[in-house]
Amino acid sequence: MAVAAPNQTRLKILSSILYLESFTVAELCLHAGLERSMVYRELSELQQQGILKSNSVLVEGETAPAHRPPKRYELSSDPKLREQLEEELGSFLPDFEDPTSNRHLKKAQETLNVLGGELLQVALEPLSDQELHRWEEGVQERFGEADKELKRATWESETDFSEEGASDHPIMAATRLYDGLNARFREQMGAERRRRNSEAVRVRWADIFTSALRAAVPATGMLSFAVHDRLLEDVVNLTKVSAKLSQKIKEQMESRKDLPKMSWELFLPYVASLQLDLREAHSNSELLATLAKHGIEYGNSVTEPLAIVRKLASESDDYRLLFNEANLAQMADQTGEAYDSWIRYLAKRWSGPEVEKLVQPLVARVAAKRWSTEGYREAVREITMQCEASVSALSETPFGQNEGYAIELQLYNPRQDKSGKESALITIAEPLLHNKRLYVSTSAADPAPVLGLPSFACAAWFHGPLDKRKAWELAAKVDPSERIVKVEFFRGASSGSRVRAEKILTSSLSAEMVG
Amino acid sequence: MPDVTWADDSKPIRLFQIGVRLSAHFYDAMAKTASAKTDRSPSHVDELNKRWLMLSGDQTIPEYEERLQKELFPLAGEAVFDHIRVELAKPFHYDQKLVQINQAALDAARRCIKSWGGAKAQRRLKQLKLLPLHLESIDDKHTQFSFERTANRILVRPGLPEILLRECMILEFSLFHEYLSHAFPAWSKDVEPISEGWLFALEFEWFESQYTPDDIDLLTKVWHRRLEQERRSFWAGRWLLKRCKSRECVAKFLLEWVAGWDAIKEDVNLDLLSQLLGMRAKAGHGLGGKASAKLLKTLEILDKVLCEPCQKGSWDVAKMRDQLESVLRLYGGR
Repeated sequence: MAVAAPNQTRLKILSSILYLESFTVAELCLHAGLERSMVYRELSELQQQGILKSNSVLVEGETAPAHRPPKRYELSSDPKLREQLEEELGSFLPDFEDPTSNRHLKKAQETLNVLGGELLQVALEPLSDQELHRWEEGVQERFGEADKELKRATWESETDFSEEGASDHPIMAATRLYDGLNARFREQMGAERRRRNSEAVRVRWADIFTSALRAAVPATGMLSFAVHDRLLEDVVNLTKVSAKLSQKIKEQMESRKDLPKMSWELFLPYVASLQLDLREAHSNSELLATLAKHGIEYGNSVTEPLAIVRKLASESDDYRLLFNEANLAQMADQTGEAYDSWIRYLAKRWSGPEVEKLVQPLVARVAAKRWSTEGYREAVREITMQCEASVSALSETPFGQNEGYAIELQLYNPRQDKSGKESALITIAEPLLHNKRLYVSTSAADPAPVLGLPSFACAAWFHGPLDKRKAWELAAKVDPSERIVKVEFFRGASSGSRVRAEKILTSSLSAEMVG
Repeated sequence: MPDVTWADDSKPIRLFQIGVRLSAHFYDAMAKTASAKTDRSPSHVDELNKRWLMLSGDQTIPEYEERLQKELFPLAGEAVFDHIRVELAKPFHYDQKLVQINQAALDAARRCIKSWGGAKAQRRLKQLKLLPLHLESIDDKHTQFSFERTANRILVRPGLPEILLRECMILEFSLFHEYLSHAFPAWSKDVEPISEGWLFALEFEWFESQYTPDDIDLLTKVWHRRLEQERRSFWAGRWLLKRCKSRECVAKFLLEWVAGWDAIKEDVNLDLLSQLLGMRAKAGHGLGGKASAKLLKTLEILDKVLCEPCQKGSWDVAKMRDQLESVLRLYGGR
């Protein structure tokens, strides 16, 4: 059965009438997008049916223009008549809002997208307290903006969000995104604040410990081996020094009026760690090793741990103490002594298996301007696929997004490990490092640890292609923005693999080969 | 500074001048023949527009004038067109006519504000002065009007000939809109939903009360496209203007609000704007259905917020914002 097409003009007029309720012909035409001549007949019919009534558009007492005044039509308030109109319209109802066209929702979504990206990528640790505060304020301000826009979007929407089925509305989705991001932001800030507080406690502890150490064992600061010798030969001193150190720490903490008593408990983990280590020291050299360990890990002055490590190294064959001595001397700007210690360290260090039959590692330098994350990724992909080798890179500058990681700068633990509880490596305290950082990227799942200051890490890589002196000198010249790349070949690799890897590094990153 | 300045002498600019002249002669002709006919026939406008569209080619103003006279010649005997043809042969001061139209637009804006505005609007009105017109060409179909706040002038950029004559015929309204929607409000940056929506709705209402149905018809045709961006705001404005039976409260509130805009915190202003738009979206779309208790409550609060302060003649925008926020909470969300 053929169905007659609905009268489009009438439908437009009816929907506009229901929408406007009270209108002039011009208004109706503007709303329905129809010509004046197209609406008169329908209006007349609707008036006859009692659905519309009309009156003059002018308010009583107002001056009429010099022409016939237009009429204002009013939709009847009779619910039955209105229902009748609605039925006639059926599915031809006027357009409802497009939720995505809400300008406030768009603004809120834009702001939230930017905030989301920023919260994912931001590294808060390198920011100073002032920068962190500014960043926090900026983010809070943008959250405030997004909140305002979401509120306005909600107000302006024709949706009743209190009714069922509104949870999928884009405004509700954006609201959930806002809540999620805001919670994440608060979490990030909370974690960073806790980290900073803990770092502040650590810095204060470094001050307290170093001051107490100087007061309890003044000889460590004087670099006087003679005094040390006398001190260390006196077995009674072991208990005396421990007691004196504890006493001095207590005095230091009490003398600091800027520290509220409540925050003392924040230092207890450090105090406990020191006391437990001191308890385990049964000889003067163990006492010195303990003091060196705490000086390196928690102190803020290199003088004392350097003096102690020198003393210990002079009485020991342990290459690890020489490595520590070299690094501590470098931190104390004693480059000549640092080099001497490093040479002695290399000489004493276990040199590993005979490697002549293996393909020598390839080491290259890449200037910052030549470096690209994409180029490096491509080089790594090609070398690992074609050359039977793994690729690592290190730099004092962070690598690109999702590439590489920061490593903690570490030295050997001067305390001899008898119980198996002691860790082999200890982290160098931040105040000794003066903001030195080292970043590593590697294709190996379990890379070899990188030890010491960045210049020692570089020198270790250069030593191989270069002799000791040249490796040391070149490491001193490495710019912090440079990347050092090392290719280590597997047992089955051939010399051809080395040539290929060199070509790949040269073409992908314009790398400069070392050696 | 001269009252009218021209950036160039391109074809759209020359056609705009001719369009303004033709409109002026047309209205004069209509006034002359008013005693014979109460309403002009829309066909007169259509007929004139047909002749206007014959103006092809890039010609000088005198050449266009001559061409128009020839195009109107076949309509000889019809008083309206005879009058236009005769007038086209006479000297004409284009700048002077534009200044007259500009002045008429300003006068209309002043009358509207005097009639409907409250104390703040009357005070602000004193700052509303005649603005210079600056004309320049643009490669766009439609004529553009804009109030240049920094230069303190109205920029007119004539569009393509297809609808240019009709645009010239409602030039006074377009300038009236620039005065009332853009120059009058005490803000440093236009708030589009208000200037192009609510105030435009108010201007439309004013125009309806002052001009003939044919003028309104013409205006409707030309402005239909311009409403694209702010159509929702315009209809929300129309709906709001009708909230009060006296039809004065909302008009007065709107004029008072924009006249004191910069004295209120921007966030409060923008919140209220969204709330009122939302009231329209939530409560105004009844479609004849039975009103729920929530809807009735919403309308009751809205009417109270808009109409109650009318007698005093001053509205506390921050208070309105808080009152509306409380009722909008019924609809959930943030």
